[in-house]
Amino acid sequence: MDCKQADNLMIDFLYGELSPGDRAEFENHLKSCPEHAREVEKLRGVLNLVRAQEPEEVPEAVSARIMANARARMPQKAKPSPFISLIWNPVAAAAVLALVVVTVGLATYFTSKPGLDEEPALEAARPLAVAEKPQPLPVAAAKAEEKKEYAAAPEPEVAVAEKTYKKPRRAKRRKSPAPPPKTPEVWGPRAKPKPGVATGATGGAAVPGDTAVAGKTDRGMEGVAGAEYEKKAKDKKKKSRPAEERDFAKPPPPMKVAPTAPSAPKEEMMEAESVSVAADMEDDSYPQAAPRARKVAKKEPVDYYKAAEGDLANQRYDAAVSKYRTFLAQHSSDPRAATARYRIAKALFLAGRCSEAVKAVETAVAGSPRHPMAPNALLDQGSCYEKLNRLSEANATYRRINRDYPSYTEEAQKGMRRTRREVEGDVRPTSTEQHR
Amino acid sequence: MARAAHSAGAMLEKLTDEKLMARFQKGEIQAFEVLLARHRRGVFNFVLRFVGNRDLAEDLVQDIFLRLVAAAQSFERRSKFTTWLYTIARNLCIDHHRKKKHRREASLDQPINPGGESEATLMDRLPSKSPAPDRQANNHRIRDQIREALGKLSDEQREVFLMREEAGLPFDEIARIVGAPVNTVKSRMRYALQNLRASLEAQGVEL
Repeated sequence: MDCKQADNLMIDFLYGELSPGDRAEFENHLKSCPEHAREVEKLRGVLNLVRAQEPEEVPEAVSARIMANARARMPQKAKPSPFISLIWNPVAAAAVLALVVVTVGLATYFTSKPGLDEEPALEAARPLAVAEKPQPLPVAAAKAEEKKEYAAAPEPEVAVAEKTYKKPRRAKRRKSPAPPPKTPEVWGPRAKPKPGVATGATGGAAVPGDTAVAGKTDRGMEGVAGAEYEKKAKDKKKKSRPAEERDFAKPPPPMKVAPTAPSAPKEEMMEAESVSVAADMEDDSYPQAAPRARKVAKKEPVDYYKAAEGDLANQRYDAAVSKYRTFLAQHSSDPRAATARYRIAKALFLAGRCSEAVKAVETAVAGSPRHPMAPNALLDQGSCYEKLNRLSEANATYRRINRDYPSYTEEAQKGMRRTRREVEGDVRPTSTEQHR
Repeated sequence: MARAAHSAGAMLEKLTDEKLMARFQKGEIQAFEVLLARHRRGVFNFVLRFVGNRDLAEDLVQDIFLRLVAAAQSFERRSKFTTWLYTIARNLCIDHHRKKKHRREASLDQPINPGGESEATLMDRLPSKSPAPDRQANNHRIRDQIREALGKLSDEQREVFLMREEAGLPFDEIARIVGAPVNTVKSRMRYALQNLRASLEAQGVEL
């Protein structure tokens, strides 16, 4: 092995990561190359020195703060939905099963009706009629079938049905994120949504009222049949439409809330619809909604504290002090309040505002004497006293550190020695007074 | 009840980081607690020796773990947890250093009170801020000397040295974190050791 190869393998050798063969070769090289042998020894010495140092411990306060924040921000454990909980209850499970069987049965019955499958949008209207009055529904279906004779005409009517059906649902969902199926005309038919139904329901332009729908119907028929036919169709529609269909086609109160809807293009409406549904789903989802609410509530204290931290890190001490004080004024019971008090003292000390720093340290230490920053703050206080030439107070501070914070003994004793000399020097004038 | 909780905690402690992370993703806070207990010291010492300021290191450690919480859902189980964790830690440390350079933050060697009688520097104020109760005076001095020597390394050398020595990461993982070939990482490690040696010897430390 030559010196270049040894250079490349030096780190692997130091960390014991060489294969036995390479290791033997490297050791042979060291015997013949005193330069590398010396370097290996020196670098090993560095590593040993570094490894001899005890690692620093994270203050418990920091860990506690991390855990508290983690608890507040963590993704919520997936809670079983009320539906799942219901399933686990045997009685409720039986009830749910029965409901599912009935619903599936009804759905099968209606979907098996000839002709209706060709118009999936009708399905949106049909279950509504079922929910309102179970008996007349076949009549409504039959009427709808009759209307199939003129292909273009039923389409807008279906649109009316879906819109008048869809709109209240949206309005209701927005109002209550977790909607219980209270009213059968809204939630009954939605219990078994089908892709076709959903598409039909979201696909139509939102039309607030019957009149507007009629207008739209007329326009839609212009290219299909003549004016005579239009009139006939209008009359027929008015006369022949069953009572229950007319009822649900009436503009329900929430529809009046959206007067701009008719002019919106179909694509826009679809998009708006999907967005609103997505928003509803988000609102419904507990794990997402809850942390967001907490975030908003916590925003203000975090901002002031963080801004102050930034100022301190960038030596804008006065600004930092001001922001920490604002933070404390607003959130004196916040877990970071004690740290903020110590940071004020530090910022004042670094800004050279010694008199204020002395008081700030006193306040901080009085509030939380076992805070990890306490001994350093007291050292700063001692230093401030020295700068202010209040040496006996400085000495007292260092003695306090020596007594209360054993790990700072060395620095405290240095300070004590320094100020003791000065104190003795102060005392000397007393002896000179005697001399005088 | 207490025994059940204890055994659950003991069971969690046997899990790998990645399995704990998967549990945390499902909302199990105890899994995060174990991860924090397992890695906080390594991360803290890495950050502390990288930035050389205890208060700042505490804040950065908090930020690191909170970022981890915030990004927990993006963690892929195939990834190695420590690679992810130390990537976050390294990025935060480097960001801090860049900001510090741009904003011309005070050098640790600059006097606290320029023009004043005291010759004390920020470096003088920062040493010996450890609350560890059993630290001896000699250790204080050597630790300060090591910190000073580390402060003179380039960021690239320091991060590699600290990831290996403080976090105990293998070189291939360090290479993934810093985005450099393994040989480059080892080369940086060697330069780091050589520079540390020179710096410590200049301070009168016998090796």
